[in-house]
Amino acid sequence: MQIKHNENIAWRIIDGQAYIVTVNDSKLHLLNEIGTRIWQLIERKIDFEELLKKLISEYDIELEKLRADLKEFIEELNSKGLIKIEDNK
Amino acid sequence: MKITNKIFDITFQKNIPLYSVFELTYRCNLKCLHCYIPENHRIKNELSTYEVKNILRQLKSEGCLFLVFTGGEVFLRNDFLDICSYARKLKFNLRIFTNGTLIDRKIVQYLSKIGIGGVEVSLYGREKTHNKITQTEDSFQKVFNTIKMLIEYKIPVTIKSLLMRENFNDYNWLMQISKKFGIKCKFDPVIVPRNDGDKSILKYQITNSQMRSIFSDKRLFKREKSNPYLLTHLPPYPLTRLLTYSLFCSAGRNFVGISPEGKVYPCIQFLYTLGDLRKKSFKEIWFSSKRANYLRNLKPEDCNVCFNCEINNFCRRCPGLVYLETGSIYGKSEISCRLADVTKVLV
Repeated sequence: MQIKHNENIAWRIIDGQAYIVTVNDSKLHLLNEIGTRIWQLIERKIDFEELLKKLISEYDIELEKLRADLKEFIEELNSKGLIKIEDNK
Repeated sequence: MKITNKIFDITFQKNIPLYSVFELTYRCNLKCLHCYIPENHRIKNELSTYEVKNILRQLKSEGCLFLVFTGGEVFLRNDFLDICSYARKLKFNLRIFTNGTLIDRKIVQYLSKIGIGGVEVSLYGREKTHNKITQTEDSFQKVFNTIKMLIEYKIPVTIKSLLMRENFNDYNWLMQISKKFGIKCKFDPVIVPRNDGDKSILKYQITNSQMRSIFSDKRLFKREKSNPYLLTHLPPYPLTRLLTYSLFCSAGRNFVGISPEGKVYPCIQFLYTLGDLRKKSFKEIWFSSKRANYLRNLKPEDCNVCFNCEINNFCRRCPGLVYLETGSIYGKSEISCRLADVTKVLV
């Protein structure tokens, strides 16, 4: 699974947190600290497993727990139209 | 706390220029009666494409997220679409203010493709009224077509209308039209003096009785986000929280204005020059200019007359208006006083 930012968004990191606007409806979204780190890592297209690998090297979390949480978070970003997901071919 | 309040408060406290209004040109193809840009300001040394892009990169670095391009008429610039595209690459939430007369289907398709946060189009009323105010015969038809095309391509569009004596009788029509199209309509009841201080255009200002009528119109006087009608210059709310902002506002704190020649202002209506981007970087001007820091340290009580005014709770004092009207930043604005006086009995 390949992940990257959706094109129809605007965003900045302010005071350590990502503020993201979906431009077609002007909705403002806010990510917490870990969410913001993930947001930075998916600015360019990245594979889910590679993203997981990067995060596990930065945070002290058990791998399977992180995998489940990350999957849920990615699904949430996707449902809000903030990212694009492509299947690996 | 709402996300919008949180981002506003953080950027206000840390002087992060979250909101930027960038005037890209003073040139215009219309001759609107009330225009605040003096005729002799129109042919000035505009920033080049390269300079504009350089400034956009600097604004991004300092945390600007909400960017407005305005003029003059921005579509008179040959490089305007290139600039828009670049701003979107830098991930600004971009809004465009336009008179809507120079936009064709290809342009709308392009804007739709790059993703625009919104386009605000000036429309003053029915055909006869609109063309009379713009002093341009076919302007209404062009604007109307533009609005329809923007809607067709699902670009968020807002009708923006300054209310004056000449179009006061058309404001119900404007509301009907926006309702019919399912778009927002923003009314501004205040005409400001020209950028050179010339007050001759204030003669178009609506009367006190018309002002009362506007501020009593419950359809306009709603603060819900879902309300399609917006009225600017509403009295501050909640009153206590906004007292500091309402005497000196957020201009120069989390709000910045940039002129077509690269001058940095706290707001495009507050022409208190903070610096020149052709001479210094945005960062240097924003964080090190004496004027910017002076402005940020002002307290409501420094504005003695207004601080002690009995109706300051109803006043949306605009320092830019005060500065234009009086040449000082401490005094009172006749226009704001008049608005507060009219609205105090209505709130």
